[in-house]
Amino acid sequence: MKDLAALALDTARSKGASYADIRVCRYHNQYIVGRDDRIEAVADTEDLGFGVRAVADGAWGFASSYRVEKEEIQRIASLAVDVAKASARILKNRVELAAEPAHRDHWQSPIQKNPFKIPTDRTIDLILAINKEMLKVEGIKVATCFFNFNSVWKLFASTDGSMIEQDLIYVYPNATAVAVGAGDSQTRSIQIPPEQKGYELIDSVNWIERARQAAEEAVRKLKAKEGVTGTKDLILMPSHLCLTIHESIGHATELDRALGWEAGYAGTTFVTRDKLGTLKYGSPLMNIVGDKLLPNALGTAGYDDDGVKARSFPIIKDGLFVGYQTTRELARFVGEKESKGCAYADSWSSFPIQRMPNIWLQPGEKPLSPDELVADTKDGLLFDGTGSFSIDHQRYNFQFGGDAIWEVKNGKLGDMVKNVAYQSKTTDFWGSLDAVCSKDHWENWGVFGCGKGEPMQTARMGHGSAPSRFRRVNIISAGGKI
Amino acid sequence: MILEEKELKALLEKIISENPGQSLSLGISSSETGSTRFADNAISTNGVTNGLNLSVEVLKGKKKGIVILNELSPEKIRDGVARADAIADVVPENIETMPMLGPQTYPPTPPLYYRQTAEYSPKGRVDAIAAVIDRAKKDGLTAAGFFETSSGTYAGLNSLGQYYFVPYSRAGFNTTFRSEGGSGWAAADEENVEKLAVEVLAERALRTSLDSRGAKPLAPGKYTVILEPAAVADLVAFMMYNFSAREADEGRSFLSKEGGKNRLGDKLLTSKITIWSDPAFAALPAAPLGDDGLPQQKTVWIEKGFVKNLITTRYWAEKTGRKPVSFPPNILMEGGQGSVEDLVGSTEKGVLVRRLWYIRDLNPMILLLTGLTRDGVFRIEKGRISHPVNNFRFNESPVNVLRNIAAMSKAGRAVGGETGQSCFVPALKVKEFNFSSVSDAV
Repeated sequence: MKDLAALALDTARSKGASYADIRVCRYHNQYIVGRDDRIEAVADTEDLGFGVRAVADGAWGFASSYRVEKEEIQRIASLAVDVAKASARILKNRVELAAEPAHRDHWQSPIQKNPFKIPTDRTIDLILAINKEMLKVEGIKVATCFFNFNSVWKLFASTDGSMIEQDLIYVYPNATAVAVGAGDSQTRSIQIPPEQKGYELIDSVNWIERARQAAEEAVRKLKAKEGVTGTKDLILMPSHLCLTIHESIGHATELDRALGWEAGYAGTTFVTRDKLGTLKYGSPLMNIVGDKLLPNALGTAGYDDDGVKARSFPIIKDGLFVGYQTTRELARFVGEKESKGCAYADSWSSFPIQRMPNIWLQPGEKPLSPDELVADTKDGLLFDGTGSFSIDHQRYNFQFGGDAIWEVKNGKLGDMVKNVAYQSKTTDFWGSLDAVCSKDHWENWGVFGCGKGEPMQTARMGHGSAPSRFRRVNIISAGGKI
Repeated sequence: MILEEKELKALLEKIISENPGQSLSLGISSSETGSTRFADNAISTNGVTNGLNLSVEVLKGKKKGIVILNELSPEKIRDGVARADAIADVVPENIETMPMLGPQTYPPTPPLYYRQTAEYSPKGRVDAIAAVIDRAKKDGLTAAGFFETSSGTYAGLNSLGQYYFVPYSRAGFNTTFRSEGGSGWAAADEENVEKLAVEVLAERALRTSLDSRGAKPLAPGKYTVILEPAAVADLVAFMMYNFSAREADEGRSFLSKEGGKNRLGDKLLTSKITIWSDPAFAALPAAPLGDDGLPQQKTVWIEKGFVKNLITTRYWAEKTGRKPVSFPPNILMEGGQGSVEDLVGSTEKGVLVRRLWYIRDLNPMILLLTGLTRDGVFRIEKGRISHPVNNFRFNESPVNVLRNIAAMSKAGRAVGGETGQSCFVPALKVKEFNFSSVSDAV
């Protein structure tokens, strides 16, 4: 395969490319989906192909194919250069890539148990047992559970001399109980973060106990009161905060958005380049790191899809915005000489674009537990898990629901509430952050299917945090009748 | 190059013949896509790709194994069938697994494939984009957008002889023009690239980006709102995505009623509303078969406000004694007379919304959605657009929207800004539309 990769690079060079790279990728996925006492689907998918990216006359060109054969690789490499030359007609900035040493390496996810080697019937039995346990709880109408195992092999080679092979494995479990009654329906999911781990992730959970707990909470949620509104303090658990970090910080600090490169689809950002080093994003407790190094996180890798070695960088330090996410192409637009390593393509057929690495909230320095946080809160709501989510195209106005929400009254966790969401503006919200629990309570959450770009590409990334409190946030009701 | 019918059929027949006695259901798709993206008045990415996928399902009574692969050497195909077979051995019986369909008769549809689209070149896309960017530069604006042309074929064959073959092509274009303090967007898609009016779309986006400059503040609240077709497409599409009979019967949907009943036959919306699907609809044709393999017929979902059909899987149909109804192949809605301008002209005080964005479910029991306006919001006073206003977040249900219709324009083909769903819908004048907060985004 390495010979074929070298052939692509030679072909691109001979056609006039000043730079070229090739990614040959094989994706293997297994989905096991259960509903109630049935397994609805067991599917095994494989996808192999390659994509060649070339710079010619200062512009990018890209071509890809599923036929990993000598003649096709030459044809596609040549086509990528032709496409680049066609694009060069409408060029504003010539592609200039930040320097990166040539790497020759092999990197793999540090897994203990390869999920693809676990007998399928073992997983099937577990899924059926989880559903059975949830259905034992009176009021549960539907129980669903799926386990998703993904493996990615990719070979990256570039005319800069890199030849990098990576093997990545992800595990994404999900189980949900649906309670129905009295003209309403509510769901509650077992909150287990998807991670870059093997089957040890599945084996580390007491699924039956968690299934019972989720089902009981679904029924309690069904009977919970709705119509809670006003301003309240929010305690957001890591299972929930991951998505708020993702939407209001992750996407907002993408440099391609700041440059207008996503204006046609996902949008731009209020974090314009003049705000680098000056924007007070949030309270001094807010320290946000970008990296591809965090052990087992969804965005972790040895190298990005520019062939840049994984690294860590500050995005927000003591509440101040200090760094964008960049790629080799983007770095120069903020006067930087090195990429932050944030290039990613979701397929061999996709052009690598700037995607979030892991973006996570550092834990608080002072010892603080979630129980202490609740004890210190007079009038609030505690959100666990994610619900509805929406944010505007410049990342100002957002609204988030949760999977389960409890009242906090005078330092105690109270009843569950339902059909509630919070609305805020990004900098107001992060400015109201007044407590972050300490590292013992930090959890490695993430987002498994973030969409960006045209054609749409999906990506996974980690968004770890510890339970945190935000003061006086606007709560809206999502209840009512039709 | 996409694969022709004879190649696909020959491959499928070969696999079936090599596996006598097996209950196999095969699907194969072949595609070629070229896409060019532009931003900041320059091309940002430009690429071409081709794809091929074979789906193998092995059925053993009520047990099924599925394998999807894209390496189609004889060895890989044999391995794929063996793996699907092994999965079917391991999976417990699923009482909801339906038997394979026999040969079906699929209705004729208007052409879905156009050679002009399939053969459209990267140069053609670049030329079109160059004209759009030149237009933006002329007015000192910045253009971004996406132009994609794709074509493909898909075919299926099972051991009982059910066979289908569908060729298709699609050309999609969208553009966003940004001015100092304003933004405009337009999008369209067509089966035939020659029908794609790129310059008209660019002009529309340009006009909105200029007109939306200098937005004045307007407080959140309930307003009479005119939703342009792109916004209507998203809201109606979200409603149709949630038109499942099973979820309604299980008490999990806005279509549920007490006692395990559903709203089939009930008057749900105003009498002005009729929504249907029809693969033979000339202005927005669709494939002649559904995702369940059954032939697609004209299906009326809402007739004069009454719920006439719900999406019903083959299993749920058998269990409940109804007929199966496939997922809507297209979404078509009856309109009224006149244009968006006529709707504005008849409005004393209101808000005009060009497009919606980031729409998500909030509460399935009332189909409450949240989302935002984007790329042009205007105040209407005394029958004319008086000035641009800020963007809003909305928390609203399409059910309420389609109950509170004051007037409708003539219907036409439109692409939802959020869903990307092509629908044939009118613009709507809606009373009491709920904007819950202001967005500072421009």
